Amino acid sequence: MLKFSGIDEERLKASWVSSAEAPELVHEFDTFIEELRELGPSPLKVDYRKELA
Amino acid sequence: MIDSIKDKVKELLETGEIQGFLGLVRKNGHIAPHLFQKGEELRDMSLGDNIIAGDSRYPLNKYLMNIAKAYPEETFGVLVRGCDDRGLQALYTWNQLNPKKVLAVGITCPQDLADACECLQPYPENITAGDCAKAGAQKSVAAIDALVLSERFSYWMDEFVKCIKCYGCSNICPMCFCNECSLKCDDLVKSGELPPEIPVFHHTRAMHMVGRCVDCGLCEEACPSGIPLRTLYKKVGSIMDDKFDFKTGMIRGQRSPLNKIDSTEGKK
Repeated sequence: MLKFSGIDEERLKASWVSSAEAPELVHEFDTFIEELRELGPSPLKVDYRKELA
Repeated sequence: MIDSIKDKVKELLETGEIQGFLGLVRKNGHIAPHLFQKGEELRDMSLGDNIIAGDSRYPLNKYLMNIAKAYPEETFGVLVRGCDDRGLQALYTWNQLNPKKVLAVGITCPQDLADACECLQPYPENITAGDCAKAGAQKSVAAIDALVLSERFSYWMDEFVKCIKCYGCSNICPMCFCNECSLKCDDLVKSGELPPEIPVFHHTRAMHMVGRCVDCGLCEEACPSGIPLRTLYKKVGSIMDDKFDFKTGMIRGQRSPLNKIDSTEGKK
């Protein structure tokens, strides 16, 4: 659905991490943040509402 | 077409098989929903056009739910097209209507309507009158799939930004029967802000249409801003078909795979 709406699906990530696996969770966060940095700012950051007014 | 429907309804009313028939009536030059209870009322009956299934439509299933709630012991007849029939089937599986208390009188849609709706099944399972038209070609979803990502994004955002949050789409939707709606929850969707948060507002509704949308297209017809909602939900439907072989309302008794608990599923 995201792809259909023109949003890069790389921007959404789902991972299963147990609450007992803190290092795993941190690793997931860190790598995802890196990936997002490479993708650049989200197109959703533009305030479409203000443009209207 | 309309004469055979009138005859059928008249017969059903006279034998007492149904206590009322929910259909369309032409009154003062307008077409409106009507609960027929006497044979003579059938004179002004309409099928959405003068004699055949036309493009004046109402969510008759939705009205039927209200009527059935008020008169749970009575059996009612209802005029159905392909989309209404899918809606009825879906409502049965969601326990919103009792199939024993509903008698559907089916009509088929003409080919031009089927093409305009891109309808996958422009006829109900039990047809009282009319010939089956062929399924309409699915063009609207393909047209967006053909765009590159950034074009799709600006296409949808330009559409969504027109939303005036009138809730017309959900008010007319026969599948919107929830007592509590997350889109009407003030904590999630702030009131007094226009347009609502996009695309989240429309995506939330799209997600809730998973396994529910019967592709009747009333939402898009009702939308005063002309947002191509049907295209959005058609995509939802096609994903369900691709991934789960699920066609809402088309296969009798098929339950949505997303709210089915199957203990054998994970063991395969």
